[in-house]
Amino acid sequence: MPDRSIISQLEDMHVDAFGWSLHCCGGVRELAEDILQCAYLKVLLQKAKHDASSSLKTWWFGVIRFTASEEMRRKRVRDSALTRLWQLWLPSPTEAVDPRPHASLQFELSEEAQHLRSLLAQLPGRQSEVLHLVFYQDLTLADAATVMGISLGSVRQHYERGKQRLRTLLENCTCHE
Amino acid sequence: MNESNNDDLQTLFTQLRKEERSLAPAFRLPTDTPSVSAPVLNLRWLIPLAATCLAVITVLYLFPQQKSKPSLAALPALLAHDAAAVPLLASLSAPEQSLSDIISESTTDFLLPPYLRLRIL
Repeated sequence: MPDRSIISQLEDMHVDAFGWSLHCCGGVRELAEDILQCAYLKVLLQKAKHDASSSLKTWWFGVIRFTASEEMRRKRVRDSALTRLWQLWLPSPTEAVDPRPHASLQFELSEEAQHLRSLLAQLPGRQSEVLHLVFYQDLTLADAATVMGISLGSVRQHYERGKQRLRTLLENCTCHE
Repeated sequence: MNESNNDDLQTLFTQLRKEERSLAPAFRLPTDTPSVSAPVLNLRWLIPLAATCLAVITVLYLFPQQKSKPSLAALPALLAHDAAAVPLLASLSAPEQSLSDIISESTTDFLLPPYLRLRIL
């Protein structure tokens, strides 16, 4: 069991972590919740341990990012044709056991928010990530580099290109309207 | 980090954050609720795992270990003594019979089949 203070700090960051998890899985709410739970489980089982080399927030966001990439990979495998064929004669027991109502896949966001999310989805992954970390999570570029596991120079490049491309997309949308 | 010329983007992201924050689920650690996904995973991978094991066993059964090199010691003996040694042409050493003795002893000529009876005068 990890230190109690770490748990309470994670609780304080829960809402931000959910936003980051949501970004990492492309805005699918149910998947974002699963990713966050898996990340919490890693901390509880001490598969992910925080060391003093980075701040707790950057470490935690890195864990979520890694967990999301794992889950997305699993999801791709699950959704593959072979797995679908497999499930024809082996139905998933989750549907029978899980008492929760079926959650909607997409958020009920305002039109503007949905529009921004769709534009972010059009950006390359790293550009979209760095813009989210800087503008949404208020992290510095150095922290964003730690979370993404790349150099500060690369992050700066993705940041500048991402901003430029997002503005272009926003202008194009405005012109079309 | 955010410069003043990024205010347009900052405003958009702030709006998105505000809306998503309101929809975030309550903080709940995984130990609070029993996980239902674990048995599903076990069942899901049980049959492929069994099939893989079966395939491995079949391959091992059909293609056992490589044939070992035959050694000379393992071969059977080429010449075995199964009886006492006997001279090959022992009968030649006996004294030769005369032709008249042979004819008189025989009911027929020894050079001809029995149904042909010839008499040498």
